Amino acid sequence: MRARVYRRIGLTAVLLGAALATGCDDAATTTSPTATSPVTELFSAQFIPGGSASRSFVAASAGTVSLTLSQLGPPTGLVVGFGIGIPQSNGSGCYLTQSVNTGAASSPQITAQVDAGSYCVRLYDLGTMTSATGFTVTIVRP
Amino acid sequence: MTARLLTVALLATLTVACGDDSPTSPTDTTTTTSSGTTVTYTGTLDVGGSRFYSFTNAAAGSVTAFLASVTATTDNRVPLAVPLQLGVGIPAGTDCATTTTQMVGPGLVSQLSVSLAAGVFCLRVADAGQLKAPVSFAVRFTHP
Repeated sequence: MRARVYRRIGLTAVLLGAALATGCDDAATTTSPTATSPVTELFSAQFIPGGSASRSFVAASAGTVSLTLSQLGPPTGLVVGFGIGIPQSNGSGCYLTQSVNTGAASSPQITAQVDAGSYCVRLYDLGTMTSATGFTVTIVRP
Repeated sequence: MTARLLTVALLATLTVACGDDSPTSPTDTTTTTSSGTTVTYTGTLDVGGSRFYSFTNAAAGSVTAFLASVTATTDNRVPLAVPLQLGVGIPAGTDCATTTTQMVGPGLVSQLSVSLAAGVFCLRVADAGQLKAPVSFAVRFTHP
């Protein structure tokens, strides 16, 4: 009788272990749709005089990031600071690596080589804004 | 009955084992993944000064670093192109005795790569004569 109970215990343990091990493996190897590199993201928002706006993005692999300030204003002809860097740990902006003073354009104002990891884009008022303004940044990343 | 109890206990044990895969809470400046720990080391640097950060390699492997940002301490909005010295070494009293150094300007790809054993090491940022005024810096580095 006791031997039968132990055999049932053993069989149950083996089957359960196999089932759960499969569950663990599935969690570790879950596949998701493979994003085609490069990936394009849009960042649209508003910022106020004296202010700034930033957004983080992830480079899935090493490669080239290009940033285009594709829309800015009104007013037309506005020039702002536009840069790339790494995100601040408190989420409040970027540690900027490079920046340019620019208005809207149709080709990238910033191109940078990056390692895989998280980066950010930041726009900031150069002291010339008189009212809140909208913008769109096109981010192309690996 | 005994078999049922043991089955429940086994289920609980294996469920906990799966739960161990959950990520731990990183600190504000540190991210740990299967490929290592990534740290964003920030601070200010005086003219002619140096700063260092001690870290522990959990295993032998490569330490990579890049100087991500240099800005004036008075205006952190505008990045500066000034080069600084990045180094890796061993903590020595109140300093870091570097074994590898490199002069680098701000960038977003690895500028320093060193193979190290497991143990305690340090990353050092220093002015090698380029600064005219204090700056704020940010270095991103990854270690095993």
